[in-house]
Order: sequence, then structure tokens, then C-alpha cells
Amino acid sequence: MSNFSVGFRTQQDVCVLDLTGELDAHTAAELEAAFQKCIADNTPRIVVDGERLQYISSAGLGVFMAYVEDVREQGGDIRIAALQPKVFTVFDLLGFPMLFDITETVDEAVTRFATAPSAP
Amino acid sequence: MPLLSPVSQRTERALVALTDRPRRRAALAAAGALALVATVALQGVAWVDGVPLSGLLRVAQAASVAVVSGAGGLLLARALRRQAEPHPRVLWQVLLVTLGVLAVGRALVWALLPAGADDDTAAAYGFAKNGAPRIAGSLALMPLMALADLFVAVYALVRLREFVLFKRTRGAVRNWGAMLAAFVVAALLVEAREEPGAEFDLASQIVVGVASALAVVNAVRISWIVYLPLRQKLATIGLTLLLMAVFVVAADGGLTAGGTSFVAHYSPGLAVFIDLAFGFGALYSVATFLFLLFHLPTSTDFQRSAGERRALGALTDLTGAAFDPARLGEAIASAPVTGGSADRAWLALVDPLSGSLRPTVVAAHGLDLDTACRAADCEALFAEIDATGQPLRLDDAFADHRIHAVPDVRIGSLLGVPLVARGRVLGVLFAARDVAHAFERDDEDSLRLFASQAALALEHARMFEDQVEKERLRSELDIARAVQQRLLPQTLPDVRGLALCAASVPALEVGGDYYDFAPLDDDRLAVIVADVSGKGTSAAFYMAELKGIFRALAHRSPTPLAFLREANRALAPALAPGVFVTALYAIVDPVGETVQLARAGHCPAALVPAEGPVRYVEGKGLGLGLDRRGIFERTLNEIDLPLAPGDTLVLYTDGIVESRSEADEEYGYDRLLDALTRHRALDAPALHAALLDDLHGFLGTNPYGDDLTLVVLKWHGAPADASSDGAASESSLPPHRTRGPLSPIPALA
Repeated sequence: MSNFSVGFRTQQDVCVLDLTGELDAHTAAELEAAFQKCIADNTPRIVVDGERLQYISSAGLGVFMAYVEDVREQGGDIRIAALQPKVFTVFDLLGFPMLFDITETVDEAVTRFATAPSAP
Repeated sequence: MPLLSPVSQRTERALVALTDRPRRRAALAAAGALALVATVALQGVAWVDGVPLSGLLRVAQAASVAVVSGAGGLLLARALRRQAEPHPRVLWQVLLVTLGVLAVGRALVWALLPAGADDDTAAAYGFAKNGAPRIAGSLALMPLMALADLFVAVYALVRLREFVLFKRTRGAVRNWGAMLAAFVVAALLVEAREEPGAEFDLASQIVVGVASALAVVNAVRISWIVYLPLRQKLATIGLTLLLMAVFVVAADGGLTAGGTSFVAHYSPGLAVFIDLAFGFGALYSVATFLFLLFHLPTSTDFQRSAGERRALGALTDLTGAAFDPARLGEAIASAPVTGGSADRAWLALVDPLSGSLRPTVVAAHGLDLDTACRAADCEALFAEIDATGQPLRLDDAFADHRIHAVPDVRIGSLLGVPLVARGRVLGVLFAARDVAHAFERDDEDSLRLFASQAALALEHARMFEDQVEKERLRSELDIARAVQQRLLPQTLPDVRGLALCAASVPALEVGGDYYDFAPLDDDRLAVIVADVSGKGTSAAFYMAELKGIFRALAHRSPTPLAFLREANRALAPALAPGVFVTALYAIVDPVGETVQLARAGHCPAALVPAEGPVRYVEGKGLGLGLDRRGIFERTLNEIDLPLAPGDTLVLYTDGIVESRSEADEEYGYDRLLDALTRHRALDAPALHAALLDDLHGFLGTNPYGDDLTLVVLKWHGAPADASSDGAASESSLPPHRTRGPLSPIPALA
């Protein structure tokens, strides 16, 4: 069984989700729940902190795709930060940098919400 | 007593036999009627003579009365014979019948006696001092009252028999038989020895005493009372008092204003029998009353444990029937309330799938779910229970900060019992009472018992669900795999100068790998390798769609870019949210000696040139289905590569690079490149095999987590080249089918 958890915190009215472990088909539901909660709480500005994210599968990538439109509709966005190199490669190969703003650090992503609120 | 048993059995059988057939019954009735007429006639003689009967006439009278009583009694007993359950309802019937008949008797007396029959002397009832009837009225009343009282006595005895013999043991049956026999013996004896209206002598008194003693023995058989619900017990107390009063009055003859007297003058023996019967009725009523009185204070406890047994029984039944965790949850939440242990109850479970240990209230009884969540802080309570593993009891729930005041629901005491199965705490069953300090040790123990049963039941229900799900998935997988096999190319195309080797090895959890070839006009060959995200039948179906798109559009797409753009437009709307397809599309031009390719989110193709370093072909591109707003088109790169003889192009899916060794290490892109470098000189099939061998060696005994696909295209140069001899035969090699060099597929642990 994969180990995965999503931590919730807020930084300047941005919802920061700390991902830990492996995000695959079995654990995707946790991330889905987290996105749903942000949408329900009307905090559509989301930064996903991937510092402790060890692995992501296509199912995990799919979760981002499934919720980004709703989040953007609410006037927010999903930004991704601090990905480990191996994990970043996976995102990169799929072309995610063209759809999502991927930054080095969480702070950078949070700041970007203030300056450029919506996706490129 | 042993002596009595066979005797009483035979007697009973004989008596029953007497009323067995309708003809016998008719005969009995006729005999009784005749005897009755005879008694009236004989009493008529006494009336005329002014002296009570004696000698032969007396014997005749006695015999006739015996026949009347016997016939009447037996016929009535048979008529009432249906096996009634000892229910207070029946006692009411007895009471009403007795009152009714006695009332009728009173009316008769009033009608048939002259005025002034209010005092209790023999004269007042129309009898001379010597016992002979003096007026016509008493002549009529004697048989009438006798029959009436006999009716009531037999009725009461037959009905009470069911109560006395509720616990039908041999001893009980014997005692009852003995009592009835004693009544009859006493009656006969008195009849033989006494004068109507006279006092009894010692012998008679002794016999009557023995019969009374036997009546007492039978009067204390009251076990039927215990199983009644509380309300009925309370009602029965009143009933027994009434019955007692009625029987006492009846035995005394008071209500009928000398009815006993009438019967006593008619036949002293019969009067004794009737009195004994009424006496027994009174004794039984008294005993029942006293029993109830002493039993009531403890009956609530008995009630509760009976209730608990019921609830436990219901739960056990349910575990067999309910494989639905939701329904089971409701049944568990309602059990404490229906069993009488609590006023309200609710069940909070931890959801294992989400991995978080936050309990949610899934069912509630006696209050709604919402209120249950608000009234108690389930998380905090659960945390404490989870930590200790023991039930938690709040005797003064109001005072606890984890209990909140909610309108309409008072929680005075709270008991939380953990549901533990296989060492895991599945959740907590909360039981609440309105009053503080309402739970006792007993309640904790019985709820603990519930909870362990409930936990097992829940665990089984979940396991069952899991099993059903697994079965469903297994058959889904089989379908998906069959579909996948059909979609992959069955033969490899024959392109001069190009050697091909391709294989796709499915994992146990079927993914969505796909590869295909389409020879285009002017000798070109289109190649596609694709990977649908996700697994199972939906992935297989998307694969099928992609195949359709490929077969339709490949011929009409001049470039990889053109195809992929069209493919994205066609596919994107059809994919579910979050689903995407990665693809690598290449067009090999043997005439122009180039290859054009575009990478839509897929693993980069590897180029193994005849000379020079092995490298990945870089190129940007979004996966298919991720975007419909033009970003896909704008960002997709197309790469043109020249092809020199000996160059090899390797296309694959991420199942290869993401395979993990026993040490949980990924094969990775670097290793792949390294393997390609080492085997670069091999021809297409050999290179294909060598790569898979290398991968297999790396994996060890680990199974595949994902499908893996490997397509090797080796360019041997234009057909005019000498080195192409081998190429033609190589390219017509049958493709390695799915079970390739790596069969059999290692089973998942």
C-alpha cells in the first residue's frame, strides 16, 4: 500500500497543500479530497508543495487535470512548487509546465498569486 | 406418588376416550340429561314428602348427580380443550365468565324466590330445617345453580390447567391429576356420608383437607408470569386481585345469595367439588398476586437482560444477512436502544480508505446524524478511547467539555465502546441516556459484548465487499486484456530496408499501451506508440478509440504534427476529466532517408546512430487530451532526423523506465541509454531481446507494475545497398507476440 498524505496550511490566504509520499491510483483520492475541500471552502488559490513528493503516476497527474478548471473558474489557480528533480521530469515530459506554473519554492508561488493571479 | 402415575395416565386416557367420538358425546349428553331429569324428579319427591331423600332414593339421587356432573364436566372440558397460551387474556375470560354466570344465578334467585330471601338462613332459601326443599322455587333453583356453578368450576379448572402446566414436567402433570382425583374422591365421599345442609364430619373434613393441600401444591406453579412484558405484569396484578375476590365470594356463595346452599342441598358432594375448584382458583390468584408483587422490582433487570438477549440475537441474525456495511451500521446503532440499554445511540467509524483517522458518524438511532455530530465531540472522545483501547464512560456528561448542549437531546450519561477487529479500532459505538449516572457495570459489559460482535460483523461485511470488488475487477481485467490483444498489430509491415521488432508485455493491472504501424503512400511508414493514463477497461476502450483515429487519419496526415493535432481534437472531448494519452508519432521515409517525429507528452524516442553517442530525441509536446484551447497546437514540436544506414530508432512506454527492482530502484532513462549503447551493434530483433533481458535482469523477481512496450526500428539503408539482404528476411519475421522473451509473466505477490 502506498504511503501518502496531504497537509493543509494557509499562507497569506493561499491554500498550501503539502504532499508527502507517493501519489498514484490508490492514493489519488486523498488529493482529490483536498482539492474538493479548497473549492468548497472558496479558497481557490492553491499551491501544491511537492518537496516531499517521492513519486507521481499518471493517475496522480490526472487529479490536477480534473480540478484545475474548476479552480480557475472560481478565480484561483493551482501552482506547483518545490518538485524533486525526478518528479519534475515526469511533469515536464507530459508538458505540464505549459499548463501550470511550476516554481522552485512555495514562497515564490504564493507571491505569484499576488502579482499574477491567474495561469499563463 | 409413583403409584399414581400409571393410574392417572390410564384414567386420563379413559376419560378422553369417553368424549372422543361424536356418537359417544351424544350418548354422554343424553345420559346427563336423563340423569338431570331424574334428580329433579327425586327432589320433587322430597319436596312432596317434606323429608330429604334417604336410602335407595338417596343413592339414586347421588348416582344421578354424579352422572350429570361427570357428563357435563367431560363434555365441557372437551369443548374447551384448545391449547391456549397462558396469557392474562385468558384470566380475564375466566373472570368474566365467572362473574357472568354468578350474575345470572343472582337473577334467577331473585326471580324464583319469594320476597324476603335476603337473610342467610335455610328457611330464607326455601329449605326446611331438615334439608328438604319447601318451595317450588328452590326445586328449580337447585339443578340450575348446580349446573351453573359446575360450569364455572370446570371452566376455571380447564383454563387454569394451562397456566399450571406451563412448564409441562412429569411431576407437574402428576400433581394436577392428583389434585383433580382428590377433588372427585372428596366429592364422592361427602356425597356418601353427608346429609344435605348438614355440617361435615371429621372424615370428610380430612379428605377435603387433603384435597385442599394438593390444591396448594398446584397453586404455586406460576412460571408463565416471568416471560410477560412489564406492562402486562402490572395489569395482571389488578386482575389477580379481582379474580381472588370473585373466587372467594363464589366459594362462599355470597354473590349468589345462597347459591352454595342450593347446590349443597342438591348434592353435598357436588358442592364440595365446586368449592374446592373455586378454592383452588382463589389460591392460584393469591399466589400469582404475591409472586408478581415480589417479582416486579427485579423484573426490570430481567426485562433488560431479556431485551439484550433479543438485541444480541437480532445482531447475530443480521451478521448472516447483511453484507452491506451501511445497513449494518444502522443495525449496530439501533441495537443498544432497542435492547433497552440506552436512550440514544450512534456509531462513528474510521474510514480506512482515506487513511485519515478522523471518525465520521455513519448511523444514529434516537437522534439524527447531524445532532449526533453536534452533541458530542466524536473526534476527541474517539482519540481517548483509541488511546486506551477501553470503553469510556461519562457519568456526568453535562460537565464534560466534549459534550455540547443541543436542543431536544439531553445527554446525561455517555458510554463509548470501541469496535475492535483484528487489533484495529474500526470505530466507536456511543450510547447515551438522558439522566446522569445511568450506566452501570452491567451496561458496559453488555455493550462491550455488542461492540465485539458488531466489529466482527463490520469487518466481515467489508471483507465481503472487497472480495466482490476484486472479483469484479478480475473479470474487468480479463476483458481489458482481451481487447488490448486484439488492438495490437498482428503482423509487422514489410518496408524495404527497415527491420522492425515490436512487442508489448501487459502487466497484471492492464494499462493502456498501444502501438501500431501504417504504411503510407510512397513507401513511407507511420509508427505510433501511445500510452493511455489509467488502467482497466476504460484504458482499453480509449486505446480502441485511438486505434480508430490512427487507422482513419494516418493515411491523410502528411506530417506527425498534422496527425497529432487532429488526434487531439478528436480525442480530447471523448476523454474523461483527468484522463490523457501520451503518444509518439513518427514517419519513416526510406526514400528520403529521414524520419520525422513528434512527441505528445510521451517518453522521448531514443536514437542509436551507427556512429556517435546514443541520445534521446528532445522535443516539446503536451499530452493528448490535456488541452483544447490551442496550447497543444502551439507548443508541439516536430523533429526531422536524417537516417543513416545502421541507425536505430527505439520507441517505448514508461513501463520500461519506471520498472522497479527489488531494491525499489527505478530502471530509469540512464540505464536504458546505457543498455542501448552496449547493444547498439545488434540487429533489430537481437537488440529488442537484449534490452528486455537487461530489464528483466534488473527487475529480478519483481513483477511489472505497468504495461511495457518496445518498438525497435533499424534502418539498413536503401534497397540498393548490399547489406540489405538480411533486412528483407528480418522485416518479415513474425513480430514477437505479447508473451515475448519475458514469458511467463511473473505473478503479483
